[in-house]
Amino acid sequence: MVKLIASLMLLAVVAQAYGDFKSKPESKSVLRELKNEASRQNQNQNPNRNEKKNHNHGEGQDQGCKGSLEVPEIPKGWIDMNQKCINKMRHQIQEEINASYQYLAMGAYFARDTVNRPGFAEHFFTAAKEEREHGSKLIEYLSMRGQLTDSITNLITVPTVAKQEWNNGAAALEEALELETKVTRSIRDVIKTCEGSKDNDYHLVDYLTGVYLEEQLHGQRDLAGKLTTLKKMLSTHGELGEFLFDKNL
Amino acid sequence: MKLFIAIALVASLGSLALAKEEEYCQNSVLTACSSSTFSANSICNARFAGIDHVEPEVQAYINSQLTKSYDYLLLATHFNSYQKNRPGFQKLYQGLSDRSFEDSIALIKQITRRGGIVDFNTRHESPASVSTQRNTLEVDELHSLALALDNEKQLAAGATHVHTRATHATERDPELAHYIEENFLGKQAETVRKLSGYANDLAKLMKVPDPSLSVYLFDEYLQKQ
Repeated sequence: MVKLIASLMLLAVVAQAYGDFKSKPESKSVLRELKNEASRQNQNQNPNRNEKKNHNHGEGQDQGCKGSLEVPEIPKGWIDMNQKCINKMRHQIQEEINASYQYLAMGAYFARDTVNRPGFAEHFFTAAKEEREHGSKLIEYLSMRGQLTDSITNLITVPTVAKQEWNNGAAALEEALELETKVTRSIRDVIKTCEGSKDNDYHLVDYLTGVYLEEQLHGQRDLAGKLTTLKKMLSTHGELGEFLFDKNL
Repeated sequence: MKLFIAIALVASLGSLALAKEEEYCQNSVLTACSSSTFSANSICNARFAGIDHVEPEVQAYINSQLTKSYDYLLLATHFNSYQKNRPGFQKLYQGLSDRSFEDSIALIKQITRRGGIVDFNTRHESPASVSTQRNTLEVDELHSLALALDNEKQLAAGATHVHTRATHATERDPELAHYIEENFLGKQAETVRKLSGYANDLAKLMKVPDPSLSVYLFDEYLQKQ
């Protein structure tokens, strides 16, 4: 009997401790605190404002938050991007981020101590930064054209990588070249969509052609040259060829 | 008798050397020369001290930094829209995004320097990792500061966890602990302090019926930082 009571008490203590543990992370969040305070203040101080907010519920993005300023009405005629084109651009942004991730994995592989190709690693880390920059510039472009006022949270999903190990430097360069070709094709696809219909988006098409394709084509040529040089040495001087090539990369 | 002791000593030394043989790279080199390559799980690598214990934690932390870098990029985007138009806030979050990305690369270089590898796909559950589930980023100015402050504290907690593992695991790793201290913890304390200051300042400035001017001025202030 005593044992039973003791075990029951132990159970109660454990349950309490678990409850405390679960509620702890919640109370730690500044954001949550802010929200609680906001709802309190909205209820106490400003009943009128609160009512007005509820009225406009559908329009505002930051519903019921303290400090969210209302978006004023301004002319919308200047926002003239085609929805299909916007979707393609959003897709392209994710493509650039995916490419950046893949390059990061390549860099990490060649930086390994047992692989030890610092030239390759640095080359791929730089490429990863560039691809991220490309994605970021496309995002800025959409903002410039009056887009990205909403649905931002799902613009980028954190990608996974298809491959994390390569047989040798040549295999990685080959894959990089294929990756670049894929990105180039994808940009051409965006261009086609954005100039195709009756509302040709001259500026975007020019930007993508003049800046993005320009960089893609030069990048591809550079990779193709490097890969060819490396492959010439591969059959008879494989290890030594790659070792020397890496130091000059 | 002396002879016997000497023989026993030699024999025991011999057996000791035999037992330890696998743990030295030198021995692998002898076999490598005859077979022309190191075996796959050769001892000839850069792993030492507590790397086995901290490697998964650092991997998780790299993935956390990358995830946060995209969160911040999107937060910057949010404040760059014509409807928000807050270049100061955009600059702040773009800076944090770039920093997280640079830090990820620095961590990759550090872990590979120690003979570790990086796995970008498996999400190892660790106090050093953050959820990839993204909360809505379409928030107002004050909330975004609170969000950033929470983020930075999470990242600081992650680095602290890596440091704890490096100093308290059965095999310690002072090199990695020192790296985290020097390159992360100090910087993070700075950022957390800065963001807390911003959040508290703006919260005070917004205790007016119409905070639009307060936010405008605060954004102008952020641009100059």
